Amino acid sequence: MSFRQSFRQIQAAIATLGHNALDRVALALSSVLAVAAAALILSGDHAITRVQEFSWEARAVGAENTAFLMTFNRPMNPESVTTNLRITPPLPGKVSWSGRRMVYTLTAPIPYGETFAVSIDQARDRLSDAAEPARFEPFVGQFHSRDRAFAYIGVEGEEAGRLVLVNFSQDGKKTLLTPSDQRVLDFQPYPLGDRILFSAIPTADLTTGNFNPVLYSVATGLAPTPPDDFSRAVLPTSRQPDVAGVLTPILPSDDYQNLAFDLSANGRTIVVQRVSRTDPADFGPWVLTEGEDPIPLETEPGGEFLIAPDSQTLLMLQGQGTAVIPLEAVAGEDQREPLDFLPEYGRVFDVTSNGTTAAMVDFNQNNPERRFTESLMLVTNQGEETELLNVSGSINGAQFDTSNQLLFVLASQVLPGENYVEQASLLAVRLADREIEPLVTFSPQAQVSFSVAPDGLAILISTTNEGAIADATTADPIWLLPLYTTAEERLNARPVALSPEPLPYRGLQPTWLP
Amino acid sequence: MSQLNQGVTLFLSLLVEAAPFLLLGVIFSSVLAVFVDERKLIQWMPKHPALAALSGSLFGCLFPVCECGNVPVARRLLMQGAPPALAIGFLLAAPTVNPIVFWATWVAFREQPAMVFWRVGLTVLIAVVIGWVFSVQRDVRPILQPMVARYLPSPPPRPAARDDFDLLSGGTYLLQSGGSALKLDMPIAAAAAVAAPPQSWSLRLRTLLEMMFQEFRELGAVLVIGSAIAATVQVAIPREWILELGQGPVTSIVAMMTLAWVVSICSTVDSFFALSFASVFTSGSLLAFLVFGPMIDLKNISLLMTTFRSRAVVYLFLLAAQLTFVSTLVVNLYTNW
Repeated sequence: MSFRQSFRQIQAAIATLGHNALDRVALALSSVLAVAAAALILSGDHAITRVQEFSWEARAVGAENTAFLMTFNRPMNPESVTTNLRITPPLPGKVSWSGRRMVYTLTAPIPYGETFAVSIDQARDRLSDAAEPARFEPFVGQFHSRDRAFAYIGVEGEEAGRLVLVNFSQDGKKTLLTPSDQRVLDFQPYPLGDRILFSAIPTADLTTGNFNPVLYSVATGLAPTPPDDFSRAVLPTSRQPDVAGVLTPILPSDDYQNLAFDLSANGRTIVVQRVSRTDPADFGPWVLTEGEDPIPLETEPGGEFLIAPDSQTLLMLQGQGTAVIPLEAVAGEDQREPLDFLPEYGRVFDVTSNGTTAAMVDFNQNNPERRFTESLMLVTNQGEETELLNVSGSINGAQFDTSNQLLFVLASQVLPGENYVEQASLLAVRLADREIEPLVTFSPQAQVSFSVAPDGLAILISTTNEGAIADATTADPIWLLPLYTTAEERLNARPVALSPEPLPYRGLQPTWLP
Repeated sequence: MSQLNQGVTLFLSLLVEAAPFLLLGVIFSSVLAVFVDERKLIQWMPKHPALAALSGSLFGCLFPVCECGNVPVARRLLMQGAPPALAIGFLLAAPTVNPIVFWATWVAFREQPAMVFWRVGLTVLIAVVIGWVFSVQRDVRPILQPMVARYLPSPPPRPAARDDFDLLSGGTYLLQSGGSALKLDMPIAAAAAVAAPPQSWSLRLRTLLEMMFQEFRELGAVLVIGSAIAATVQVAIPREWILELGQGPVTSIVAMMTLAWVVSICSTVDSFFALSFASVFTSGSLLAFLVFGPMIDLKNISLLMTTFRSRAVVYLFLLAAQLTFVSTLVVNLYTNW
């Protein structure tokens, strides 16, 4: 045998040995795995079905949160879950499924100031045998709605000119938020109600005639933790909760006077109408974005304005109509060209939270037959225009409820007689069928402001002259107007005319915290 | 006629989806051959089979390829002299353990982030086990295709035998500097892997391009065949039949593994595909789909056959399937996840 031949034999023997080694190990492992699989299958199902995640667990839920999610570890038998789902106190809603996730969408905004318990005692996964007892880990969760609270500008005693917070969820506890040496002119709560943006002047300036309103924000002491869902992305939660009354300067009044302001729905942008002290022609809106220096919004001079719910556009009265102006600067362009211009409408009061519909006023300038009347118009982003109301007096306010089903309107008619006297009423307009329900009629010439609660259950009203509410005997307090007597009325969005109740607080501009 | 249309659509979809990744794999493979010194590569590699398989599994982070692109890279690693455990670890895990797939799974299973960790964890575990099993094969040449095996160095315990083998094989040789022999009938790609890397950059670049072209043409043709087979099977066996295998804790795993094998969907997008079954199937079965699919499917079997002999492919398939089945069965029957 030659060297070459013997080498080849050795080579073949080694190769065969190696080959067999792989065969042996692979087949042995394969057999072990087959036995293991059989043993596992014979041992049966030991897993327990359970709720993996509940999106509202221990959260403070607000009116903008319309649905909670419940994620299970297995695809579920929907019926077994819905029949065993308990929410106490009851919270009507609809169930829908997306995979292993159940979505519970509330029929109406959550009532504020309450704690809710959610439980599922029993449920089955989709694959389990109906004859066998269900293996389900009973679920108990809880969440609460935000505090039912409002703020107003005090008018008497130590409250005079100061911002006052009233929290019904803490037995009507009253807190003076701003210092006594400041007189608050206007205010607007931040989206979570944890702070309030306000403009104020030093009380010392009241006698000197200086008018230097400075913008501040003040902590309310409330620190709701919103559900970890879409709203968290929209609403900033980075601010540390402060003790009530902690002030943060927002915009000084140095070279420019700060006039009107509006806070965006996401709480990150403020638009302030400012005028230069040296050049009265230098007048217009400025944009103040969180963490950035204020910049003037280069646009035509205008009047009243409102930031749209998308927090990215401004609706501003310019000339005879309303311009829609982008708040984001376009690179390379100083001047903000309006995205749209609505020539008919001289005022915009409110926009639905989904941004589709606005409540605007047509002064009927182009209609000789209806001159000197005002019309409340519903204008959609599709260009549809619907007249809701025509009054001989004026339309002084309009606010959509959170569910966008109702529009509350403050409108006045001119009373017959020689003198020009207006009488205001608060009306509820059902948007589905345009049905109008008068809620309250005020005494002639009363100056009224109102605020619809975020849960849509009641309205706060303030009037500036005594006995302003017709037939009311108590004078000049803040009034609470309940809207419904039954749950059915609420679910069908049919408010009824009820008597307003006087509250033991006196002040201006009562405004619910969101 | 509609079946033919469906088949052609599926075939083209598979091909269009896989071709860029195959090209990417071929680029990585050629770069490895031309620019990486094999002696240094082997020097850096762990000697212990489990560690070698583990490091191979994690190589995917450096070479983000799917289950088509991993074959040329694994083949190159073997030809460069990497331990079989490392090459097998890479082959099985690289399509899953890479940043693109990690991100895609994270996005698809945003509501179930644990899926990402289960997927990566199980894949690495299975790749390490199978890599370890293959490490018992001291000389891997008998389990490789002859075209690949002939460029491999001999097993480590008999280093002196290398030259003998080359000399004892039939063919025409050129004697190289230092006494090594270069076989003349080698494909350019393989020759470059054995020959000392050329020194000049222009030469290296030319070799790189030639290798890429050669390898892509070779594996591209195989991919076409693989895609055609996968498309034909999908037309012959509709997905509904597979899904009807069952939705129970055990049958759902079988159904989803079969589905993964047949649909041959690329690992970079399979998590979105799996997500559409989340409403019906168990977490364990979705996991089985995500773990098993990128390891072995109908489309890449033909690619594997360019490197391994059928016996090795059977072992790879069998062990990957069994390990996936058993581990996801534990998930379904014993965990509340």
